[in-house]
Amino acid sequence: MGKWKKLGIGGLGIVVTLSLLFFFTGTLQTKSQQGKLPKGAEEIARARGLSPQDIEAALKTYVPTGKYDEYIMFSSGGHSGQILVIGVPSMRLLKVIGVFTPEPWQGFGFGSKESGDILKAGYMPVGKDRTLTWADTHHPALSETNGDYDGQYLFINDKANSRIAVIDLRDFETKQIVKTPNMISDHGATFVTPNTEYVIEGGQYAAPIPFSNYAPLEEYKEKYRGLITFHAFDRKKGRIDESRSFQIELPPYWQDLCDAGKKESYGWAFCNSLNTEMATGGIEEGKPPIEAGASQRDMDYLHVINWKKAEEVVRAGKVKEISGIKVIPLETAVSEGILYFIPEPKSPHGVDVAPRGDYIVVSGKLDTHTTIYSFKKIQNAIKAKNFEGKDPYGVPILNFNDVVEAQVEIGLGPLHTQFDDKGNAYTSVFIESTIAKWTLGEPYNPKEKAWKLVEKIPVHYNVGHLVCAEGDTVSPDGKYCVSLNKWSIDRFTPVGPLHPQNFQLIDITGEKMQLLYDMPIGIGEPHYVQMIKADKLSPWLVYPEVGFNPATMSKSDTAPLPGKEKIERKGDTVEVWMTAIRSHFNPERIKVKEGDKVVLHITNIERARDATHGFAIDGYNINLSLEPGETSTVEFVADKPGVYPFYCTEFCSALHLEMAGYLLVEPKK
Amino acid sequence: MQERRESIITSWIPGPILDRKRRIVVAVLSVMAIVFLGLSFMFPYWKVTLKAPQYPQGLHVYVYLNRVEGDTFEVDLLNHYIGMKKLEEAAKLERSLALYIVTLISLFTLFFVFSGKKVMSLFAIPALIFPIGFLLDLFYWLYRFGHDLDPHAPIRFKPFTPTLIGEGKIGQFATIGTLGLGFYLAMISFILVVIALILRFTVCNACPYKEKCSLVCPHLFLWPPRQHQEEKR
Repeated sequence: MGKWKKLGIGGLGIVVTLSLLFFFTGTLQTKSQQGKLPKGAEEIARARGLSPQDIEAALKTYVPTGKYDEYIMFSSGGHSGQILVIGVPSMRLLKVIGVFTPEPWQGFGFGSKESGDILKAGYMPVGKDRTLTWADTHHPALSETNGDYDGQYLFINDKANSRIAVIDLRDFETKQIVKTPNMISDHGATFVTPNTEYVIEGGQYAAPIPFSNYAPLEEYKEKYRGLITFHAFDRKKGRIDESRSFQIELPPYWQDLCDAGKKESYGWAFCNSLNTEMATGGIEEGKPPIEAGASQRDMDYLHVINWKKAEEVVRAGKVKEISGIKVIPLETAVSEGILYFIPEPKSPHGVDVAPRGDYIVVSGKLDTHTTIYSFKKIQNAIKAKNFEGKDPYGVPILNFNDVVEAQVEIGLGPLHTQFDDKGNAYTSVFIESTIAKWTLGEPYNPKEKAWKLVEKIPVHYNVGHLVCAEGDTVSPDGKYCVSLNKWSIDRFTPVGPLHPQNFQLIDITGEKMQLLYDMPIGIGEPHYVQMIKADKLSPWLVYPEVGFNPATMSKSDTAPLPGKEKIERKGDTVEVWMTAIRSHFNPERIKVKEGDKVVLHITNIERARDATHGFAIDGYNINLSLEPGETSTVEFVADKPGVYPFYCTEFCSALHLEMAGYLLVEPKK
Repeated sequence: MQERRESIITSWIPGPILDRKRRIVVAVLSVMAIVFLGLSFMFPYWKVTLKAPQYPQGLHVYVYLNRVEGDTFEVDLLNHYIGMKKLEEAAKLERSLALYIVTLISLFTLFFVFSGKKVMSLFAIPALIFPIGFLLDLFYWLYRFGHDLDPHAPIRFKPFTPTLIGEGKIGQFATIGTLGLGFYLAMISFILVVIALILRFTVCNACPYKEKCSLVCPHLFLWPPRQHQEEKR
């Protein structure tokens, strides 16, 4: 019997061995080879005149093919009205996202109904030609959850026209542009509250409310006002909900940058201001120019705003509705305890809340100090009604000495501050062209180390904002800062009088800050940047379903699908359902009559990564970008008779040139 | 109770019965063979990987008994350039019948356990030819796909047969055909049936009733009465 038992076990043994063999052959992995410095490395360095520091910087920034960057920066595209996506530490430009400005590659604003509707929503509310095709983008803001970046959405403002855009980070595309009612210029935007309840947009140049209500400058103090908007964000829909948004009327100072309180200062927002002198210029009449008139007083006012309280006041209906948005009048803001002022060194730029929400750092551009206010002291002073007086509009002013925690002398022209994970702050110093590293006080550092300048590093040149890895969140990462320089002067090969801007990457991990890399920006003047850990983003590689409409972020009912292609005529309207796949459109021949309205629905039915098709009709200013799965609609009037080829504008395949067809517009008899 | 049952069995099967354990092993192996064959439905029998520079992850097509999965959309898209049929067109009949075929083979294998010596090989044969049959059919379809090319395709290709097992080349694509877990499970099933068959032969050869062997062997699940075992000792 034993023999048979063995045979049975043996049989089972064969079974098990075969299965194991099968599994293991699949999981064998080759060992990765560690890099060795090639023999010629030193010679290359000598030939190229590289110092040991240069070599170190090169090694710290080089990202080989197929490897990814550790951080992603979302940079304002400045005048381009777009957003730049940049990898750190390689400083490679990954993408330019069309936001306020039509962007042909992405088919943003070149015929697609989806993008056209988004752009149109941001046009001017008054005037005959309301079109806006540029923007002065300043400050991008990543959406936050509990004060930390969550990698879901991105916001950016347009200073020139007071607009806000929402970008969905699933497909890195602009989903919404809001033309803010009543306001015509902004600067303190965009900044989000810790759970992205609101996107804050502080105004800049005071104007009547709304700006389209004319008032002469002689009535500046009476008729002109500042405004701050809290745009309510509906995270589920991924859209700003203007029905829940509100504005707060402010004195006609020029409000500047803002920041939202977090952790212990949750529920509050801080904005600084300039021109509390209410200068309106008149250089042409021999009056002092604005630059002088607005710099007469030593102090301007830091605005301290209780937005949680404002929310209650809005809910209680103590608001005026102007241009379709709820506005809290200035007197209500004062009487309800929503608005307080604190003197701050004049012409400030940054107002930055420390990671724990306990300190507010303000830098006056004409000062040599950063000024640090304690949130606790502010609260105590408000509770004790310890005011040094009121401004001409009745807003209570806290006593500077009651609420200031420290002042750190860091150099001339401090501007904007970011934080690291070790209790340090980094402030850009504009006039000196340096980045200053200094220590925060307790509880970030022991008392003897508190509020001290640590080190300064020269940057090239005229640094505006700076960004450090997640440096404005509740948990900064340290590692890298980037100095966002306004001038590059001699840093790059000359390319004509209009010089690129200069982004300088700085390693902040060591004892000394180390300059690693200069990246020219040749598209506009970016103001501010957000830097997020790359693994917090999880964008789609292709659209999740075939027939996906990126404007609604859902599968479209009207999307043409394979086998359902057709052309239908109804009266003067010709409607086409078309699919695109390597390497053909279906249908390929569209015959219409001059004057017909043509409605084209096109779906890219590809599922392969990167298999994007373009769709351009010659002579009709139409170009779409159809990414795998995407569907889009174009409507136009065939007003030009003749023969108009259409073709795929992405080199999609070997037979890309053959991916074409004809639009035949038969002339009217 | 127990005594009564045993007395009934004794009255039905007179005399000692040899190698009870061996027959249990045959039954267990056969049932396992059926289970493995059933399990093989869940795994691909054959897979082909297509490698080209612009597909760093490669394209993978998995052929199951009753379906084709993986990057079929992309492979079909690429195949249309050379006028190859869509993968969905391949072995439609075989795939639609797969479940019935496997059910039938399972039933035959089960019969094999009960069947008499003369017919038992007959019942084992379907399970034994199944894996080979699959490969032959697959080869047939590969041949047809490589030879039945649309003459109006954008790229004209000389008729060919995609490689069944091992590396091949189609245009810029390196193809690697490999057998999948499903096929290995079917092979295991095959081996189990072979072992079971050998065991059955040894049992039947020693069977005292082999002269009176009928279509169905009654000795398999009927435990020999204790008294007979004692007699044997």
